[in-house]
Amino acid sequence: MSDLGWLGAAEIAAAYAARRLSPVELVRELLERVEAHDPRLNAFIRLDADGVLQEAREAERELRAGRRRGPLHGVPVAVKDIIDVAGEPTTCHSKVMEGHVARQDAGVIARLREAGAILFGKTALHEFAIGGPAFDLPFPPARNPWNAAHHPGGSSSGSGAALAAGMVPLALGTDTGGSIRNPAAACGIVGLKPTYGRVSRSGVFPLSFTLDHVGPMTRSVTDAALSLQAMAGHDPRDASSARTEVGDYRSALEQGARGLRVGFVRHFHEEEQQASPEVARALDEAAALLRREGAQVRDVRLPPLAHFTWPQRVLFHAEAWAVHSRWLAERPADYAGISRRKLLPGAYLGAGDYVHAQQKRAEMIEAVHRALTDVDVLLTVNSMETPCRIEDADEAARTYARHARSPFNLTGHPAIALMCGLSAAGLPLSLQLVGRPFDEATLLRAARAYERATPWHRLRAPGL
Amino acid sequence: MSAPIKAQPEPLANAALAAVAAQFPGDLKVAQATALALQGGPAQPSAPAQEPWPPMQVPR
Repeated sequence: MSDLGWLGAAEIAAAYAARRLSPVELVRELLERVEAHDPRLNAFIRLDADGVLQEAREAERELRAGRRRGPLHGVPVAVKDIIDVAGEPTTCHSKVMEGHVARQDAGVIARLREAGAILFGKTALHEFAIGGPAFDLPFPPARNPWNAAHHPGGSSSGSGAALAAGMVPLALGTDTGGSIRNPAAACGIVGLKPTYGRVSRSGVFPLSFTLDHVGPMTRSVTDAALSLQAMAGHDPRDASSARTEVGDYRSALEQGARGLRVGFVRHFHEEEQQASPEVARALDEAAALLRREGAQVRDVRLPPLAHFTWPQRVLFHAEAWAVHSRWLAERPADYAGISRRKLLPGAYLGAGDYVHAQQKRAEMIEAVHRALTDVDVLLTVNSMETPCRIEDADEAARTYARHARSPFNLTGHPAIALMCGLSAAGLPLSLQLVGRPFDEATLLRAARAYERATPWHRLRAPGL
Repeated sequence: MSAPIKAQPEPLANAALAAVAAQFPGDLKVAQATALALQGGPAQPSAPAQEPWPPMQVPR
């Protein structure tokens, strides 16, 4: 196999433009990589090789004829299997959805098609994006390319694994409590949760109406910017979709850290939860590096982590219960045990719980807005530790809530995860940057400034 | 916000809980413990329910 599997979307587009690469050549290589590695990693639930090759041939014909559909023309993108692609099953990684075939494309898929992307299979997830690594489902759980005995994070597990294994240059994830940024952390890639309302959720199976987001997963910040540019925009089919103008996410990317004001939120991982020493050290080093690159870095305090996680969990359980209660009554055995245990708490929460959680949410949105008046971005911990062993259910339960991702599902602020080190055990470490609503351009600029000054995004999982 | 667990869940909840209780009683206990931990959680709103109703403040 060649190194084509490690090309990013922007590099692929440039190679097509220079006629150094063809979509068919690239797709053949990626399919070979899937064939070689996916029996061990289980990143894909469904991949129609013939269909993908057909799309690649069509893209090749069009590009040769000088007809470029958009910035992702001929670029393969893997799709979390909770997102509808017309004519294909959407399994949500669940027996419950057996026989379901999507009638139309999700809003985000329609935009990716307009940009010329090749849809490259459906990826594994935690059941309905709520469960956890489970072995009692119709499909096996995805595994971590850095060490297949470990969890690849979730719930967008297969998207993270596919990227970290060089099987695809772009993937879609969804994020209700961190489900883009968790696999980004575990797999050492980039995961962007855009502002609430920035990317359409139409045709995406809901988990929590208040908290759900859709976003890109990539191996570089540049590709995150490129793909967000293609995905973002108003969709009348999604009631939560914002009408705010889509920014230019690429023009400021290379402006560097000089002049950026970064607020370092230490108390999440030093006071309310304790990050592992390796994670804490990597965050300190990231803050120091940004300072060396010209950013003004200072400590910032937000409300305590629990003030975010409590309302986030109440809303999450209550809204997920609203989605799943009928199926739980009629066919509880069709869910994985871990999913049932996470869905049922909503049955016991009252209307008052829900209302108070929404009130608290409004307070927390204001608190983060205030913090972002004096700084441009926030730097926070992502996961408190490296991913656990996938078959150790107790360890998975202990570690799964140890993170600082869900606060920004609650508040809707954009947040990006990127690799910031490698543990002694050879597993990725990750940080999180948070920006102002709809100011993904500044967020991406800060992330790129960090990325280009560090070697982490160039590392590959061993044996791949 | 320290209301006890609802004594009489809605009919659909009753049906779901009965179905799960019959087949997976352990899951029900875990779910109850999770809900109990959330009720009376550590991060209540700083003021009681207000009038006028607080805006959702979804960033748009």
